[in-house]
Amino acid sequence: MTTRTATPPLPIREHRLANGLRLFLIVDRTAPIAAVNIWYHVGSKDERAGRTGFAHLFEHLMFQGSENVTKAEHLTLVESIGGEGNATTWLDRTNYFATVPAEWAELILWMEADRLGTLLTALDQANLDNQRDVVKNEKRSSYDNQPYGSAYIELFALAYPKGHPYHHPTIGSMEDLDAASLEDVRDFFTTWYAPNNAVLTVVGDIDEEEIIAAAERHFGAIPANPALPAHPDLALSAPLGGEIRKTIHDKVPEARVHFAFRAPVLSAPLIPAIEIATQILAGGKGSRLYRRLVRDEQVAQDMSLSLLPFVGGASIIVGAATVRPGASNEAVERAFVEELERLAAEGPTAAELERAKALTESEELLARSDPEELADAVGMYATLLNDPGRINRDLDLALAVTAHQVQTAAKLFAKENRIVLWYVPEEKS
Amino acid sequence: MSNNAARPGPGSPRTWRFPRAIERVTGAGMRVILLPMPSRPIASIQMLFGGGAAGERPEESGLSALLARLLTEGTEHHDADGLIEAGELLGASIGAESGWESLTVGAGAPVSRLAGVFDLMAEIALTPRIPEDDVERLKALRLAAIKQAHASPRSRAVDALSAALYAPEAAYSRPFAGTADGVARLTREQVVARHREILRTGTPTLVLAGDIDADAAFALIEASRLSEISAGGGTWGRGEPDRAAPAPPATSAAPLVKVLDRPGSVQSEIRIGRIGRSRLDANHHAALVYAEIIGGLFGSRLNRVLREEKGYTYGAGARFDLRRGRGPFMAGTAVETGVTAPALAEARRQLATMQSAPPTDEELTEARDYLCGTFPLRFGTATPVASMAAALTVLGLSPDEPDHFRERVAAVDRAAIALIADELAASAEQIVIVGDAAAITGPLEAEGFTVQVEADGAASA
Repeated sequence: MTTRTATPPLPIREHRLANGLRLFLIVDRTAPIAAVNIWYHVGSKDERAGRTGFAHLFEHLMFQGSENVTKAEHLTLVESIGGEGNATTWLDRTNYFATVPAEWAELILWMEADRLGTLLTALDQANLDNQRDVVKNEKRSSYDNQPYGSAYIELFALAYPKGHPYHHPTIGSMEDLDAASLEDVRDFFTTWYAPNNAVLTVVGDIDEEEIIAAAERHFGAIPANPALPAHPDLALSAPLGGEIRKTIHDKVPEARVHFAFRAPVLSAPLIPAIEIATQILAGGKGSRLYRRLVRDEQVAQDMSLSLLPFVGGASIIVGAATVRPGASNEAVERAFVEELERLAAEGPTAAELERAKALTESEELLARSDPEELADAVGMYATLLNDPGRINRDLDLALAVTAHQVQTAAKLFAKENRIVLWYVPEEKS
Repeated sequence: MSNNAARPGPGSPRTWRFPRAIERVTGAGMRVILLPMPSRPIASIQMLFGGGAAGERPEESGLSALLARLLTEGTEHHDADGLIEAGELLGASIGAESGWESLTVGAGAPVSRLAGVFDLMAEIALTPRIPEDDVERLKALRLAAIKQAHASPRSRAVDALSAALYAPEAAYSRPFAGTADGVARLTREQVVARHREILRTGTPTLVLAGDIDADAAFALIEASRLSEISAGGGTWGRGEPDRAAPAPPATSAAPLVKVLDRPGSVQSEIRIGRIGRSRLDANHHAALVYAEIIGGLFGSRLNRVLREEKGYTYGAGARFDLRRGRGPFMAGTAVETGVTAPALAEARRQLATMQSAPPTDEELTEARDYLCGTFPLRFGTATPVASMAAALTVLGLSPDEPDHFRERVAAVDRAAIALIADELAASAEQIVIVGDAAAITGPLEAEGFTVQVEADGAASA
């Protein structure tokens, strides 16, 4: 029996501007702060061939100034009012966010509106070249110069066929980054950065009417893009259709086995059961994989398994385990796969399911206490599912997952839907 | 968009205070600090004992970290799996970790389930099994983690800079979770002895933050097995070796660069350091402002030049690690291999400007406002509130200190910054680079540096 802590739904106020911008507000007066978050429904899936990495490079250019904000002033302004801000790019979207003392919320709205309305007035070749160099160094830091740094790039390339919008990495390739031109920037901005392709969420110690008025004042005159294009077709013509394997010999300290599995899309009813299944299999030291691989057989140093949800075609579940010295990739893979298949064959025990739900409940309640996470979740659900109220149902959906649904979710780990990627240390010369 | 030209100013400011700390002492002598936070249903509980890495001798490096990991591997009532299952059933994540000055048994849990969580935490602290098999298994895992850290340019550079800054006998010369040599030598007897020692030394302190009623929460603590945890004799940290003894200064005339070879590296991970300040220094707020100006803010001197002007890097920064003893000041960046020498020269030039070109009014204001404004942002949930109160407790400071943070930062002026700059300049500079020695040694020498190369793998176990 799971004792439910009473959690009243969070009241989400919605306001739609005439230009299509959707605004969502949640009042939370626990701390004197406001989290401002804007999601644009454009990501690396929308890049054209030969321009991989462009959505992310573009995100950097959004910090290079606009009509009333000078180069690199955006983050300096955020910091000077005592706030923190950043942005991220992923396959389906790009999000920009700042958390600031609540009395400064309007300044963030003004800055977001200024760059959405006037970015191109400040754009120049020097800024593009500078940020291209910065992004290339980001790629070196985060991927090229890190042990196992290519793993996700490889897994996505194997999980989605060549030409599919999820096949290539968000960071892109050096050649494509080099090829990006000012014309590309203008096209991309004009095409995707429009109020009718954006969701603005503000959570915190705010006055709803003031924020709505400020949004109207600053965003109201920005024209919609009536010709917003459709996103590329994400449908997958065929299932994976058999195990895919690859081995990489690289400068890594120990061997590692990575896995990937295709999974249903974000809107699918099975998603909560997949989250519970990964919790049972890999959620901490009580999980099946930790017990088997790390504690009992001691063939691995670590293990992980998690869902990365996407909106079309297929989501992906990724897993990994680093091989202990003296153990083999074969032994780690065998034990890992046996645990996945055992869950599919037998389902979880009642006790396991109860523990997974208790932990999920704690995590959900914690996430709701953080205005920044809350704003981002509303932005995500509004942008990708057109359903911001989903945050008020997530916990119920998780607690309603049955043993049978977990078992169904675990069938995704079947061999015909499995990608196995080995890293093997290069022989020392 | 002409109406957009006027930047909005602030609305009406909100007041903020760190949650009020209510202090109690249990019948057995444990100190309890309660921090009620309305509408935060997930509580954070942190129980602090003495016995962190700062007190370790080189030959027992990693002992506190190993003990912390072993505490959750089973107790007299539960084996390791049973312990984790009991915690999960309460929706709690329970663990133990060590730091420089303390060992913490901690948990995040719904406030409605605290009674059960308290009993489990007490069990973990009082009656761990510490099985021989697990000692060896966790030593092997730590050694594997050290090997992974060595393969990561960032952690290898940070570890090498720490070793260069401090004398080998100083705890701060080593990673707090232990060196390969130290960990390999640890025995179960040492772990058991350290466990007994932390239980009988000083006053354990329990910090609890969340949506609690202080009286009711204290009554729950007294009714749980936590009531068995008693105060020991003496105080933490007595008679420990010097945490922060500096390494002997280099003798070469030209600035010495230690290059840790990583053949084929596409970037150079640069670290420049000096021994910095103590958290207990009255002027540590000035050190925080100083660090924002040189390498904290997005528009800091290092990031502005190395990233936004030169495009050498994804980011450049600098910070003081403020500990009980004088922790390191480290500046760092990862740059494309081909620009290593000019990037290092530029970074050192920028660092030197903190003495030659005092902060402008804009820099001072921005750094102070940033620190003051972002301070409350950190304390929205129970965990950072409990962590802050715990960190203050460990250093013997008052849990009310956060209420004074903003006025102290706001009072930092140019003279205070100059003092930090002068004191920093008086401690020896150390430079390490993890990168492709064959590609960068020549250019570094041409730039006037003396280069000392350490082969790849020399530091690995």
